[in-house]
Amino acid sequence: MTSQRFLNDKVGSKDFLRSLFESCKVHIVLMFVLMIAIIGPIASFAKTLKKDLQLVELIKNKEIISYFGGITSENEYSDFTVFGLLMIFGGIVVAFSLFSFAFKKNSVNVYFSIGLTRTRMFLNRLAAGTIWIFAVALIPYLTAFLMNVSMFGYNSYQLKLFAYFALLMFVRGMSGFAIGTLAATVSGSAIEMLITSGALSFIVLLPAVLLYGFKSNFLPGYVGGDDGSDKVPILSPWTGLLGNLEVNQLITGKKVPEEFLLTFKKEFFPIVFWAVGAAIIFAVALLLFKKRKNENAASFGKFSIASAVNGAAILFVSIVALSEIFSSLYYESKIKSIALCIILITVISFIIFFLAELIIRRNFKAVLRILPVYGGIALVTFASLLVIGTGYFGTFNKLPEAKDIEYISMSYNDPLACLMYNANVYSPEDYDKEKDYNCKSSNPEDIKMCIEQFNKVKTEKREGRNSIESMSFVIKTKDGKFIARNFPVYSEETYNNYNKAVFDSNYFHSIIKQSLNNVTSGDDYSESIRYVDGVQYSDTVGENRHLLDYYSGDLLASASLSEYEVQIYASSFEMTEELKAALYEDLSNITYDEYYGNKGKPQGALVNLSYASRRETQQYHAENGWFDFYSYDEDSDAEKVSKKTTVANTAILVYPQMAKTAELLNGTEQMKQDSSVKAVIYPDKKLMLNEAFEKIRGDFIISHYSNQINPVIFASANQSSNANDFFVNSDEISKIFGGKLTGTYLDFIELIYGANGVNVTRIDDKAKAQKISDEAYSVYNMYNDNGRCVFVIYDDGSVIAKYLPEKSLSVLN
Amino acid sequence: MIEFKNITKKYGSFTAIEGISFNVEPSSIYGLIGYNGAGKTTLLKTAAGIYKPENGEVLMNGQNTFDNSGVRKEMFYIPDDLWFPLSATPHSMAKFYSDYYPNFSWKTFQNLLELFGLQEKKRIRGFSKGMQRQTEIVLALAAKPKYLLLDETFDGLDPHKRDITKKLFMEYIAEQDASIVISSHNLAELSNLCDHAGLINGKHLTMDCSVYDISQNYGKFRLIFDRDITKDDFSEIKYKSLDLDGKIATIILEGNSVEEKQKLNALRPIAVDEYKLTLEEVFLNEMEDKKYDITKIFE
Repeated sequence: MTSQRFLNDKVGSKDFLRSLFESCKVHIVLMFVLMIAIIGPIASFAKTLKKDLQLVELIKNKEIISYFGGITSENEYSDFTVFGLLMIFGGIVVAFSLFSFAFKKNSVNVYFSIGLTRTRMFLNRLAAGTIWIFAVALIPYLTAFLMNVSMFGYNSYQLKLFAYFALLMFVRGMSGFAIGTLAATVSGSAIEMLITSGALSFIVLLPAVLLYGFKSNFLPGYVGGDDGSDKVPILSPWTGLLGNLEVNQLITGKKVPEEFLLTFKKEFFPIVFWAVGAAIIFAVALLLFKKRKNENAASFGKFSIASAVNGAAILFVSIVALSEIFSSLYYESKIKSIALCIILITVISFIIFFLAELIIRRNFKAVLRILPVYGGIALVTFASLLVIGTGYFGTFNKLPEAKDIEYISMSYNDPLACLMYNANVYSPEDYDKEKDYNCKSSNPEDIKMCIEQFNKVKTEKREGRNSIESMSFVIKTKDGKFIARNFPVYSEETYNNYNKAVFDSNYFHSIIKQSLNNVTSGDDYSESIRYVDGVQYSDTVGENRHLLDYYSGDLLASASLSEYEVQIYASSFEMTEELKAALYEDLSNITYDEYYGNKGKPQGALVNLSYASRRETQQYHAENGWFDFYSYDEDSDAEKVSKKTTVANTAILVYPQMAKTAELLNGTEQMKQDSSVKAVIYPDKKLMLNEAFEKIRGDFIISHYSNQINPVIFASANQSSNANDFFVNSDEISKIFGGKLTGTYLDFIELIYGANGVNVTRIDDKAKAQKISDEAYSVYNMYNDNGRCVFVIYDDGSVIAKYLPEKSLSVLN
Repeated sequence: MIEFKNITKKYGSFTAIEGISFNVEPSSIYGLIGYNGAGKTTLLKTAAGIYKPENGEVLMNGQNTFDNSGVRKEMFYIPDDLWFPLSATPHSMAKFYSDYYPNFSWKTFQNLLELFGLQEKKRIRGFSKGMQRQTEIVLALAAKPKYLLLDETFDGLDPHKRDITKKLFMEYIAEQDASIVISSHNLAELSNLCDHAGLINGKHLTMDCSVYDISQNYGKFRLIFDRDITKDDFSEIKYKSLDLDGKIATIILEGNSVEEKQKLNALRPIAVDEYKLTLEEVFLNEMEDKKYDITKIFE
């Protein structure tokens, strides 16, 4: 006898098999794409094994033990982020294919009148989709795993990677499937489902984004991180599941310990979060599916949940977009008042919301009915903006007493980067993690100085000006709280006073000491100290800038730069403990004005070089648990580096006042003695050399890899080209001028200015040239006026670019 | 038996049908009639468990049909708007329904296809509207349901196929002891198919009786007088409708009381002819409260 229960099960099973069969096409396409994307690079890698004996050797020695594709910009590596997005989107498409019957009246008539409960119908489709998504996630990576075993031999690390990637892809697919299913159960049509899927994916982020936007745009000093807003992205699969993708997949046995997979929080938390999240969403979707009103099929805007979600998404997006627009208008001084911004954001978002609701609901009365909801939201928006705009009515930036502060850290905007690291403002949590971060001070004088500067900087008023720089503060109180703030500075006076106060502080001196200790010389790949004597500066002052910019396009010239050569070679210089001590003493004793307002000729510069390669690889730091990017030398056997570029990361100018350093350098006979001024050339308008070059550079770019006196690096748009010399070979420059560039560096200066229609005047009167040089400064960022760039030519052939302030222009006459 | 118990269905704030109750006995066909938009389809979809009523319930064999897999395996709904996937054939659709209807008979399916002259492996999208409807009827009868809900099922069928279909339904209820609810605008067809009929008017079921009773409940008389007569002559008589044409009067009486007939005779007509009302006439009479004078529409 056939029982009723059996019949039920039989019909249910057949429906499940039918669901499985009917949704196979979508999955087969998805799997096909993923197979090509995932297996393709591995197959390509396997192919290179046949040709690359070095690689074979590395594998033989267990130097390389697995390869699951990579994330570098090279084309032959797969872009892992795209797989993730594809999988999530695929999950939404799967939901659509399984539940699309609910969007048409005629299919609704059939499916909802057959002998299945809604619960069974839903669960059958959920099971079918889950099985397929599992297969889609599993099969490509299982294939990848088997290929790994055949290439490298089996090791447990491959198995872990395979399991991790397959699980990650599965959860991504399921998160998209869950959201798509929920959207399908509350939507009347395919288009409404897709829109609702998008809205559901991101709506959880929007309030946090909104609040973060408000704070970033309107709360003075806000740097984020103290309100958990950085944790919010995990709430959306599109962001939450993509944050943990940066795993180097070309794994070398020596460099990556297997334990890295066990860093549960970093790697697995989003997976667990979204596995649980997807389960909850499916449960909610089932409840809603059981209550689904089929009379609303083939409609748009008739399902109240979808309409509410889409309406809220439109409202939030419009507020976020408007707050961005109005804050930028405010910072560009096109709108002077924050209050006006707040009112405009509220009113315009209201209008957008109202129109959008009219389009969605197509029912004026229905829209009128929900207006009180918007009224409430508008009121909250207005109140939030008001509270944020006033810095919580002044309490946000009120510092504790000096006695309650454990330590302080402040940014220093060093134009010459004297071997220090800027005091970057981390979010408090990250800051605390930086255990070996030494850019901080508990010295009472420093704390006092910090409080004074904080209170001055925070009161800076825009008054229609653009900011010069941002000043960052991190203050840790004795009760364990962090205060992290970043204020834009608008007035030169505040800017210079701040820099001066920091430069002359114990805090800064201790940073110099620590930074010098971090410098090594003769390292294989990244750091070596070289000495270059004779320094020339130029500048890229934009016309709309209030202060001259300290970085960019500084051209190094030296005594060895004759008027007939364009190349400069730096000498390698050993960074001895003795030199470090001398530098520390000199830099501690020299004042801010002496260092940055020096009119003399710098006798040289210590430049810390490193290579910036096009292709970087990551290195795992077992001791602190994170990956760092490193570039490797050409000769390194760990990783091949294609092109590399020499850049100067840090530099210290050596002025005559820095006696101990100068003495040491002179002792090595590498320091050129000062020579007298021979001549001066200058353009007849305020136009810096780099600025002039920028205007005519054609396909070439000037790369500024560091913000100090680094060399100008000429590079084509696609390829870095220079070698170890500071100034690129003249061929590159010559190309810009159609091969016409011949002659000297001075010819080059004239050519560049000439191409800009600017005349260059040369003064050969030695006395006058000396007078001009005496009035000019070596560092440009101190001045904001209509001065001139002057090039001082010395007897020994070196050329120094200096800046003659507007007030001293009379010496040119 | 199908029991409609106090069914109310709303679309948002709009009430489509309200408080509808009637029963459909086994081995009987119930005709559902009403204006376009009266709520016939809504009632059938509610019965099929597609819509959930705001109030009331539809019971089949004593079980509520909404979200009830057991009872719905014995119920088949043929909607007005048919659904066939893009590449569906009668065979693939039979396979589809055989998954969901445990009693599905492939033999009956083959026999019916042959009867209607339909090809089993041909794409249904290529069929005419009438052939598509025939296919759905074939599928429905092959599923062997105890309860059949048919919405405008005769639409698009040629007279021959209509006749076959009617006979099939008659045969089917006799064989399967099934209950059928059918909505149609073709009242003449319903009159010789249904044994019961219900009229939905103004959201409510305004009439529910056997087709036999309908003819008993109304009396249509044609009276010939030897004089011109006026409406006033009939003032003493309770009539449903009255048409006057000189010496001839056509009158429909509600009920069939001897008393009213005597009143007619009292008017001294020279001849009296009595007719049976067709279902269509009953339908039109029930609806006559919305009579329009169409001659004035284009003035």
